[in-house]
Amino acid sequence: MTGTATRADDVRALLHRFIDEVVNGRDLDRALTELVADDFVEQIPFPGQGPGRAELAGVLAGMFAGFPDLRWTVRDTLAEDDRVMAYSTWTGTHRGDFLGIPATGNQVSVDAWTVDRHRNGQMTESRIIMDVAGLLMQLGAMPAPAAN
Amino acid sequence: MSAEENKQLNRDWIQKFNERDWEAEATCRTADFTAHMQGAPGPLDGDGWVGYLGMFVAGFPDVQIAVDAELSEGNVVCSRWTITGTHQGEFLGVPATGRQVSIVGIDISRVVDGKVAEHWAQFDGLGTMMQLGAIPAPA
Repeated sequence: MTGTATRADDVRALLHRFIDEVVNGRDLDRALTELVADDFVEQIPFPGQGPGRAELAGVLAGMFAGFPDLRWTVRDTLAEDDRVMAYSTWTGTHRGDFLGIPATGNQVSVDAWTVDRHRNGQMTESRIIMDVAGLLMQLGAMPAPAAN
Repeated sequence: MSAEENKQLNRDWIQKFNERDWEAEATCRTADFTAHMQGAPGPLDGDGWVGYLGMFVAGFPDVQIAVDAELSEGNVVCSRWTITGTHQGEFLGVPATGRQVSIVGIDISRVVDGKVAEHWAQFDGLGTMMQLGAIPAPA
């Protein structure tokens, strides 16, 4: 141990800055541009999401429009070298169109898992697995599974 | 346990599942093992876990899990993986379609004394249902 910040600490700090400033802070201009590389790639894209930082901003803007009070809480992180994994839960109230579903006013709580890769202080790659099936059930857009 | 040992335990555990060696699979978990799984109504104990795995094996008898990447820190290991299999039995209420599926997911395991004590996992349930034709794919 050298006592200096390790690479793993750096990527963890970058993850928290992204969540605090871009997602919860709604800063899709300055903070997003600073923290995400222009050639960013989402390896598990949202329907219609192409490569690039601007496409990520578009997806986030769509979430903010659907859930204006969206709050993303990181519950656990692991970091190694240039990668950081986060287990998160986001909550929000469905007040606008989202994935073609008109506002329901429903409160939702959705688990999301991400593995991000960073280079030179910017996120270059992400993989997100979100409980979209659970989200659609909470919006009443998909039937809940029958109890056994 | 080092990070490398945690990863090895995780890979061994998955290998035992792929081999359907249930006795060896159980030895990778602590007696008070708890799992927090997508779709499960609450935390699962060892018996509940075996039942959860059984649900996948019943729906996809040839199911295999391939680890795509791993991270480990302290007593925790994270992996992302791809499940492949052929839908030959009922799964989440969807009768067998004969379709091949490829499902991505991520999990975390907490390791105590060389065994998995606690486990969390999430997989692409929506993509699974689209691949089974149970819900329409986005336009």
